[in-house]
Amino acid sequence: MADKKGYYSIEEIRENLRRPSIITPLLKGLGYTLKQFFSRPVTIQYPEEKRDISPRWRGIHRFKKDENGNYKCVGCGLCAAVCPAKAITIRTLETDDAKRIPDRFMVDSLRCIYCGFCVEVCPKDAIEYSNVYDFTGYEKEKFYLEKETLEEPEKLSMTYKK
Amino acid sequence: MDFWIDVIINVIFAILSVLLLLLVVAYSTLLERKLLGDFQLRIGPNRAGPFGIWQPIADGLKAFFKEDVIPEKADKIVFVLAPMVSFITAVGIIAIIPFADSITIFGRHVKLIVSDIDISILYVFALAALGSYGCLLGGYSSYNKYSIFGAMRTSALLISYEIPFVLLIMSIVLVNGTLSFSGIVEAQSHLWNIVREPVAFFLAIVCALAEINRTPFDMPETESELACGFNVEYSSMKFSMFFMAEYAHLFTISAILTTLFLGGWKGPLLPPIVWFLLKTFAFMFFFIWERATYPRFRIDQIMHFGWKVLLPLSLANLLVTAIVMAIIG
Repeated sequence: MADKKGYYSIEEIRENLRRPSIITPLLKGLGYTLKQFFSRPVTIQYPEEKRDISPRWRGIHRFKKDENGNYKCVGCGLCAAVCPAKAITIRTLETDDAKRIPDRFMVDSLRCIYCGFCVEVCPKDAIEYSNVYDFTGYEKEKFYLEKETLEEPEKLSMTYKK
Repeated sequence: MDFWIDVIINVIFAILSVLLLLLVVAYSTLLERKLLGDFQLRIGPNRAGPFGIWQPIADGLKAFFKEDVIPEKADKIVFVLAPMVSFITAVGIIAIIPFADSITIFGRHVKLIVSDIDISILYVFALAALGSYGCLLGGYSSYNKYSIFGAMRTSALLISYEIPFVLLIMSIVLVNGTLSFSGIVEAQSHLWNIVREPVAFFLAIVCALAEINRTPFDMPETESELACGFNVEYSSMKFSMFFMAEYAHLFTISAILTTLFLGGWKGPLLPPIVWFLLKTFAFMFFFIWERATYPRFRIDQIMHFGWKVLLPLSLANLLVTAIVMAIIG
């Protein structure tokens, strides 16, 4: 350390000279950034190119159909009951041959918190999550997703061609 | 008659070199953004045309159509004048840079240098000193606390680093025995000055960084502290003129360093103009590279470094050069 007048003693100057110089770390830093310069960018060109996401991603709901093309849902209403955000509206219709089918199934995707309770609770495995995460719209009505839309949520995904 | 043909050729060449400078200025903004993107593992601008080649034009058009705001309490004349001072002094330096060897057009020798004056180095430092007035006046006339801080820091920085820079260049002058740039290029035919004056070369790069206000010496525009520094009140084309002046300085200081240390346009095989541009762009690449690497100094650290480290080192370099030249010369 320098004394009050700002002078260094001979020993201190010798000690300072023995220390590693400031130049080496500076060059090391330059070398590191040059290495980054020659490596590939980690960013992607988002609208054209999409990031690979986990198959377990919780995206927009899919309202599944069975092999005959009928909804798997039997309209029990458990999903609406368990939904903590009250995002699901379901109305059941009883057909003449005593079958119960969903007359209306609507997910308010603005309310939904993607907790996954509806998927867990469904006894008929009629709801699952898709991988659609980039769903946008200008009107609020667009976010009330009816069952016809939810049959194929992939259509909601944003597409962009340059 | 011959005189007037010479004048016309000279005027055409002057216009061409200014156009070249403006083109380089426009595209060095894109170059900087692209290279910074590469250094930061990003892609950089690529939306306007392939590889973003229309980006500078889009930026220019946007700046042109922006509203031009002059603050109510600003000193209006000085406020309007400051970006012009900054830009013209930056462009003026291009006049004394030798681009290449002389060529023959219509049977007469034409030097590829706008004005081959004997006092190039004096001219450079005169214009560089004037250029700092652009920042100073801009900051002062804006009537804004941030801009006046930026302007004061700029002038402090430029005064502190111009002295070692001049001393380092003086050692080049001692070695080459001339103040003219074409003379300095000629003197480096056999041996570049980087070999003769390695210490001066590295110190001059540091001083050059300070001269053109780049990181780690970007005192006038310390974004994080002073909002934007001296040009915080400027908008529209006035802002772009400051911006263009900055990139013109980047090009001209690279060209000056090339001329002083790397033998200018001299080089084997390739045509001279290619060598000149190669060396200049190597310097520009380095300046962008180090911007991607280093953080900014604090203002007191800069002053400390300039006066207590750079000035003694450059004085010692000049002294040693003088002694050696006295012995062998």
